[in-house]
Amino acid sequence: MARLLVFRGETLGQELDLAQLPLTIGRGPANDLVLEDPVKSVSREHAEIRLEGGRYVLTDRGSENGIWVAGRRLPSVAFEPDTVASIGPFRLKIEGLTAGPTQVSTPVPPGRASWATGAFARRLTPQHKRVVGGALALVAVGTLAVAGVVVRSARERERAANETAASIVAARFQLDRGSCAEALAQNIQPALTKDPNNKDLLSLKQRAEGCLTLVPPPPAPPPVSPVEAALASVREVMAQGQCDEALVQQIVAILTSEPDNADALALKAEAQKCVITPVRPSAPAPKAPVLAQRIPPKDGGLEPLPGELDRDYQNRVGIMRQRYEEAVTAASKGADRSIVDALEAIARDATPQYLNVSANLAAARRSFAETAQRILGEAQELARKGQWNESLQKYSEAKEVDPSLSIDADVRKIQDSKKQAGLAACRSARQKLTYAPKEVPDLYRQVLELLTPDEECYQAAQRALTPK
Amino acid sequence: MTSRVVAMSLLVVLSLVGAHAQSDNSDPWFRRSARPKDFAVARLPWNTFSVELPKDWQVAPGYRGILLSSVENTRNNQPTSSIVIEQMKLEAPLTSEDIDGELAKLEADQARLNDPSGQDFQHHVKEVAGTRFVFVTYSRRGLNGMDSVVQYAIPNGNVLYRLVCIAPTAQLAQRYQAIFAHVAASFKPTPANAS
Repeated sequence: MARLLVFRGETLGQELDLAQLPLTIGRGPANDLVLEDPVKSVSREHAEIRLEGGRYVLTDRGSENGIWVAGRRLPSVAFEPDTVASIGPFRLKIEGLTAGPTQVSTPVPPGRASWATGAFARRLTPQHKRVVGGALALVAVGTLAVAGVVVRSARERERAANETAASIVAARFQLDRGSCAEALAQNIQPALTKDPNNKDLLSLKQRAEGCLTLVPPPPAPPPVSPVEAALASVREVMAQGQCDEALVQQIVAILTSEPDNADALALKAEAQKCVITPVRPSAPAPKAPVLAQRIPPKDGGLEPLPGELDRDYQNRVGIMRQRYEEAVTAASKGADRSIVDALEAIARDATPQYLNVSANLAAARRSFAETAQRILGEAQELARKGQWNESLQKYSEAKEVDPSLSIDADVRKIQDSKKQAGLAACRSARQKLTYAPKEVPDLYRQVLELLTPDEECYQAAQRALTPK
Repeated sequence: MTSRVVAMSLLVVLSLVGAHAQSDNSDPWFRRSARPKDFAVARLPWNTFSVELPKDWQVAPGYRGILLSSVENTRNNQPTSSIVIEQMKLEAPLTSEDIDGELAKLEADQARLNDPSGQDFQHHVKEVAGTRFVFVTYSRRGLNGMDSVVQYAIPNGNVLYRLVCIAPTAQLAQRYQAIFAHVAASFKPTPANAS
């Protein structure tokens, strides 16, 4: 009993006896064989297997994605022992086939004896039996002869189908290369003589004729046989590194018509190796060095250096652009001297015409000057309130924003005021030691904040605040 | 020529005397009396200061911080005046710079604390003839009408001396101001490093 094996990838998924035919195949649940395919490359009613002329034939039921064998889409395929048909991601193979047509025996109905052992035979004389036997022998020989003719005819049909398929592949290859006349003369017309109603061939013929009306016929190239054209097509696919199992099957199909074709055999071995070890696309050939093309500064370009390569120039342009973007971003968050310095450096290293660097620089200068003045105002206000340390801190911040600020005189004045405040706190502490001793520690702490360690009172305060 | 030199010398001497007299008389609350014979140097058991007190006033011993009292002798228990000399130990010696408005305020606060019936407290820092001191005045209800209190606080090393002068307010300016001014101007603490 033949068994249908259903693979998904390399995994055997289902296995069923081909006892009841026809066997419907598809994604729909009503099929005898349900192929679940989330991406819906299998149609609801995709195909069916019938027994025709003693062979299992897989026939397309008008599916969208069809049946594929050896890289070709076929409306139907008769299973051979090595035939693998693809439906979507599934591969179908029939196990238990013998080479050649399957013999289908018709069982004798129960209750019916053979003609040679029945009553009819018993009524015949031995002479009659010899005559009848001879006649039956003649009928048997004739039947065998007819059967032989039928088998030969089937084989011829199969060979013809394979040759047609090879012609189609070769013709497509030639058409893709623009060899329209050759495709028509060498492959399409000869194949059409054998299979005049083949839709693919008719379509290719139409394409070739259209092509011929547009392109003048080139000088006649050496004739290319369908097999050679098919092999050329395979070579081209392999050169692009697109070798897969389908490609191998395509070579196998070529070998079906020319089993001893050395090129095909070599390609098959190469393709199998290629499937195991996919060929990586080779690295692109190194490009010839290109000299830098100047980009105007207003568009973010720089002056190219003598003999500078475009790659290096682009690199410099990119780095400068990054510097510019960073400076502008920082300036948008509040300018200080470092941002102005950065923009000045860009204007110097590129040119003042570089993008909007000049406008940004002017804005940053204005902004940082305003910021510095604001901080300076705060410092002066704190000094007026007698918050000397806070005031000095603000003066320092203002100077950090704008190092050109002249704050030394103010700072000296504040430091002097701070010292005077410290000495006053010290004096007050001495007075209150007698009159209000509880207030003295706070005063001494002020002394430590306001005076420097070299002051005598600072040391006295330190001593007084140190726990005994 | 000689007469010119003599004239110049006289001018210088006169100007110096005038300057001295001016400084001595610059503050009505701290200057020597025009009648110094009315005062005598007090005979004290301590050598920490010297002072001239009115001759006809009675000196009485003090107690604790009060060193002595000088009380005017009167007839028929008439309203009278007195001068009290106190001393207070300082936790830290005060320099001349430490005698400032803040110390004056502290002294006034201390006086207010010691004499809760006092009112119209005023305080100043004065420096007269090389002596820097705190001057506090206030008034209070006395035995016979309002009294005025005039207080001199004179620090010296670790000690603060207070001269507390009390007189009827009605007679203060006319009679007692000059007495108090002379006593204060005659008060001479022994220099701190010498004691």
